[in-house]
Amino acid sequence: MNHKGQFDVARKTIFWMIAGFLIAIIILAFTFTIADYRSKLTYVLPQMKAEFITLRFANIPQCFAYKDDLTGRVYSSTIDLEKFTKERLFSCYHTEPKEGYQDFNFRLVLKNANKEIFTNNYFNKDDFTQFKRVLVKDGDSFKEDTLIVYVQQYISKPEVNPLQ
Amino acid sequence: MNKKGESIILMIGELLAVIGVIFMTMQIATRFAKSDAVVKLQVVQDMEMMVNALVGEPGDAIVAYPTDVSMFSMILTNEKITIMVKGESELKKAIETFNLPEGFVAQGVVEEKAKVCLEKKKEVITLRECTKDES
Repeated sequence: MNHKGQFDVARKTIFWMIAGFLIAIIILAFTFTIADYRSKLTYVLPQMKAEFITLRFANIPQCFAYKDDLTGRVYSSTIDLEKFTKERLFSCYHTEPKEGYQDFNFRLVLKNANKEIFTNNYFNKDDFTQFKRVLVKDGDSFKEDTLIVYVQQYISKPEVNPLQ
Repeated sequence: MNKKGESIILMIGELLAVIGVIFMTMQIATRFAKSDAVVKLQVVQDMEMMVNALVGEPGDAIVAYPTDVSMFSMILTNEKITIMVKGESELKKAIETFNLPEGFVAQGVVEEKAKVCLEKKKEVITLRECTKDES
């Protein structure tokens, strides 16, 4: 092989080294784009997920909904003030004690009744808020009120210091 | 080898490299297009929201999943719903967790049925195949 031939081979080798590197980057970028597109396709608004969970608070007697013991009728969107306790909320909705902070947690406020309770892994990180118009049964009277649901969507895992 | 021979070999190498890149890209795209992963994730999230919606329903209720899910098997337990394609690895299973009120029970296994229903009777939520009237 003459000098010009050797130079051509060397030049092509360098070209293909650079091209190979660029092609690898392009394929990786393409794979990541597809993965990102896939996660966008399956994305569900956290507000919607939380809405389905919070339905239970004012609608079922196992949570806070008022149930007439004589007739057995459950009054949806009517909160029995006697039931509006932290213990009741725990039996209605609670997250895993250790890592439940990575799940939805709630702070429930009855605006006019001035009562507040929260779930077991709620740490005052309100991501969004929902408002529900409800009736509150206090003794024999029914009063209009607003149930404010402060939603803590997710708290990421705390970093562990390996030196500790 | 003469210069002409070398350049032909180099050209063939380049062509093979280009074909290889096109093939790899096509493989990635085809795998994505044929994959059930997106549908599986959508179904599992829908199911989780359906369970939560049923929990929030004061009476009894039945909900039929509106699309054909015959490619999947599903397991509903008190803590989670798992959706998988039969025979695939643990890592590829789609799982969503939920928190039921105390006293509630969620149960059911469905294997490759086209129409799937979630039924709430008192405090029991059951995953099952829909009957003809329900689908």
